[in-house]
Amino acid sequence: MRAAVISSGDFASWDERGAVLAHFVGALACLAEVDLLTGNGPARRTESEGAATREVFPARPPAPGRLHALELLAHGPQVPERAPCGCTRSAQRMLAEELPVEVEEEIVSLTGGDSPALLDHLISSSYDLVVFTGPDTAATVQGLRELRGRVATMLLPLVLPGPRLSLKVVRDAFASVDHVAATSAFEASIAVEAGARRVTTIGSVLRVHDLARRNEPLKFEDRAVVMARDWAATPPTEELLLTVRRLNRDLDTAVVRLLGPGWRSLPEDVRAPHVESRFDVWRWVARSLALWDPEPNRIFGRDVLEAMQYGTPVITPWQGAGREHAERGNGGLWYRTYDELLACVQALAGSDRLVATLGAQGQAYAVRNFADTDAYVERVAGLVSELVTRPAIR
Amino acid sequence: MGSSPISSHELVERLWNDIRMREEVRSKTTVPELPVHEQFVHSEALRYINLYWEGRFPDAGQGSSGRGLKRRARRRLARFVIGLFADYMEGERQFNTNVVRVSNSLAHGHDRIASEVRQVAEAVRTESLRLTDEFDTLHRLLESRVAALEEAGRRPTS
Repeated sequence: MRAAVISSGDFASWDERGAVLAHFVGALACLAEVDLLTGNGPARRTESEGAATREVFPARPPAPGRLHALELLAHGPQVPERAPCGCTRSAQRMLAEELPVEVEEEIVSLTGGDSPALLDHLISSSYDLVVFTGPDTAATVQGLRELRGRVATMLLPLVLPGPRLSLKVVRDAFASVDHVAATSAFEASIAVEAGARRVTTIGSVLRVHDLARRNEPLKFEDRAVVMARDWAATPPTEELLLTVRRLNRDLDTAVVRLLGPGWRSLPEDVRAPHVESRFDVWRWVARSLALWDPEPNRIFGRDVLEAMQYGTPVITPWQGAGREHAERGNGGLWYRTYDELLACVQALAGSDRLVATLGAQGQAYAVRNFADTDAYVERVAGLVSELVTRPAIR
Repeated sequence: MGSSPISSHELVERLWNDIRMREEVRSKTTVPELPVHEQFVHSEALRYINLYWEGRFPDAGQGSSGRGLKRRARRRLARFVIGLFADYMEGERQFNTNVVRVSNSLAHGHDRIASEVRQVAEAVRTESLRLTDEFDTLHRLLESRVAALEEAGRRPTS
């Protein structure tokens, strides 16, 4: 079997979507010859990418500045959803539905992967399965339009909720793809809301290193609630720093610390020093009171699942894959407001028994569902076989 | 797992419910913020009546100085009219004096009462906060006692 995976570019190293894609390609390579096609280069080139062969095609270069300006005009300011009412998203959706198709095409073209050469290659090659990543890229929108009815297609959404999902061309992509493979029920719900017809949650796989549990990090602080991120790539917002400082002021028996590369740029009162790598993060996470992931739109929840694999309870916002894992695995707590966040931390800081029980429950869930590579490969294989062998529903 | 299972969902529901109840208690026991009181004794209106309560008593010779027959007659007529109303004017002056005194007393009394109301509100607010804190402490103590009893009940007896 020959399969192509279309990706518009590389994800940042700490972006969970990159890890999800890499694991999917690895699993697919166990049952097919995989070409990883990327439309983001100045010229065509081929290189080996472990289990797959990467082919880079010349493409219109992404223009983030122009894209941002266009989206600002089209959808209004990109304010995050702060309350469970979903009011912001509704307003953005209403604005997005009114856009002319030409503007929509320009938005997806600027998002990346606008490569006529890649499209020609897809049409002329004889793939049994074409997997697209991200519904809002030119490669996906144009590719699905061209390949409809010719070859089995699959989509890995790897997309955060936002006004782009309301674009008509994106909704068409969701509706026309043969199958959507999601990593969490949260991601699956995003796909269904955007018009996907057949969605399967295949999860993903991840492993942590047990060695991190056995050697203590430098200047470790006991009873720390930690948050991990690549601070060099994504500096903290004023709001986050204010929340961390407020928590540190309101908590008697715990401290909140920010971990990750770029820690030198963080204020001294909130950072954990000498945490450069993911392994350093694991060493903190493995022995912390809890992991706090304030991002409400996680589609996989890698940080949360890693902490759970170490037996550390998690604290997450009220929505997203993080909350899904905390709830299904009974391995953590979730909140909507600052008072609820404080109550979650205080509940954990006040009861070692609660920390131990939630940690053990979460660990059992994370290990059972996300640490078994063979089971993941089997899930991917089952879905791919069904897709390739069944008659096209078009 | 050594201990009995815990449902995250139930725990979160309980935490959220506790916060909701605490907010309800706070909203019921919180004394509303009173607006800033501007002292009545310093008001512009009171200042005006204190300055002009006496009025301007007409002067019999005003604007009629000189020696002409007509002017002399006008002065004499003015003196006659003023003499005629002198008792009334004096009574009016006494009345105004008392009105101003009463106004000043009322303004002082009003300001004192407003100040006392604010002192009482502050005292009630402080006491309400103290009681809320005490309630929280007692609640925590009760919770820890219940947890200790649960733990003791779970331990096997020899």
